[in-house]
Amino acid sequence: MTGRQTPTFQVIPGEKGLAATDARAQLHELYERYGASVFGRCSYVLKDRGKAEDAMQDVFAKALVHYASFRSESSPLTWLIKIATHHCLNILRAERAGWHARFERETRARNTSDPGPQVFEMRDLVAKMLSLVDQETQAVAIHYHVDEMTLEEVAALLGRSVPTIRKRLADFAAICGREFSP
Amino acid sequence: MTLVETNQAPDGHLAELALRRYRAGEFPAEACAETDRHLASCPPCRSKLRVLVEEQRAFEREIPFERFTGGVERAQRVPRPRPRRLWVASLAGAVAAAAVAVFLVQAAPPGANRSKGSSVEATVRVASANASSQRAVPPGSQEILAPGERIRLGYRTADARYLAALSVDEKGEVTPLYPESGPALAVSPTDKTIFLPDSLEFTGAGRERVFLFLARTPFDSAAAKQAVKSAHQGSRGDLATLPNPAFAGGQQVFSWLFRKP
Repeated sequence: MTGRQTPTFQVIPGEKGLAATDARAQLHELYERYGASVFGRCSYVLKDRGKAEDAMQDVFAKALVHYASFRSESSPLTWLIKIATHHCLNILRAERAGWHARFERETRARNTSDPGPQVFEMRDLVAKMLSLVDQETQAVAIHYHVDEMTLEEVAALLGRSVPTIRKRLADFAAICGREFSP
Repeated sequence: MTLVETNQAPDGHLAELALRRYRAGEFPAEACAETDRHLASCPPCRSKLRVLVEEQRAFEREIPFERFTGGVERAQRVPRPRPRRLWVASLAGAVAAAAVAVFLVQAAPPGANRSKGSSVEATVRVASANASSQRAVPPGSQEILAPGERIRLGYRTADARYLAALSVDEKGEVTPLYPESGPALAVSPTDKTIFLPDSLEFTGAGRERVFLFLARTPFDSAAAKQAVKSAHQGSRGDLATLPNPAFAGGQQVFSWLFRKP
């Protein structure tokens, strides 16, 4: 770290962070509506609840900085899930986890079981395989198999074409098994 | 096709994301009523929804609102010191850094865009591996980095601008640095240099060119990324002769060329 200046980013007046509005009420709304979904996504990718809480805070901080545009999204949840997924995959990539960390994560993934009925079993299968593919394919696999978005929705969310998304999913299936075929 | 049908997974049940949106109250009244009707006749979807409701309850038990608020506010004030980009030097490289001579090349590459007296300025600060020393690198410079050295980008602007920073390597891989995606960051006028959060560390060999755009009008980082890609293709991958990318928005461009250790 260079560690000289306080690393702050100012938001220009009128772009609306939260200064002029009731920040606490907005945070409460975000907490109640989206808290578990974002925390769940961060925990799912990072496999560490402490890191997941930090990452979740980062995601909501971003949402507050861009609150005006965030609220104008047709689905704020979809925006949050995209940001959370991307942020956490970046964290994993930045950590450049060694084989032992990957092994630990995969072991944890293998040992994870849903508390309730097997309604989300695909998420566990995907989690086991994520470390085998590149970051974009990871994001595609999560949005398609876990969020159950359509090819078109994933393409729109990630700014890629449908054929590109289909190819990423085919690559994922080729590496991880036929059950992941798009 | 009804709204519920468009939100159905291939197995005919509601997609998980759709159920989460429904729980979050994002559906308009009509879609909400449709979802209600579907749920009334679909035990698996009801079960899935119950799990999501319980998930939120468990979240609120684990992370009470006060703790949540404190954490988010702290994240807003002080972004975490985490590299935005995955350039993590090897331990051997970091240890060797102390023995590596570092020197500065002041030659400005073709197309460098910096004029004295401009209303916007940019700079890069390079810190040694153990952070014991720093040096400033003006735009247009070529800089040789020692193992473990990190850079931080700074800017100063007399008027409100929109900022994005990206880097491109010799293979043409473009990496958005600030922001990582979406619209360029809106920055306020400032009479002192503001350094962007997080320091960046390169790994691997070869060269990397970093661009910082400061535009008067909003633009999307994807447009900047595409412009950098096009510029790279136009220069046939020669980062030393890479022209400053241009796209709509009247941006001012600053760049630095780094030789990675």
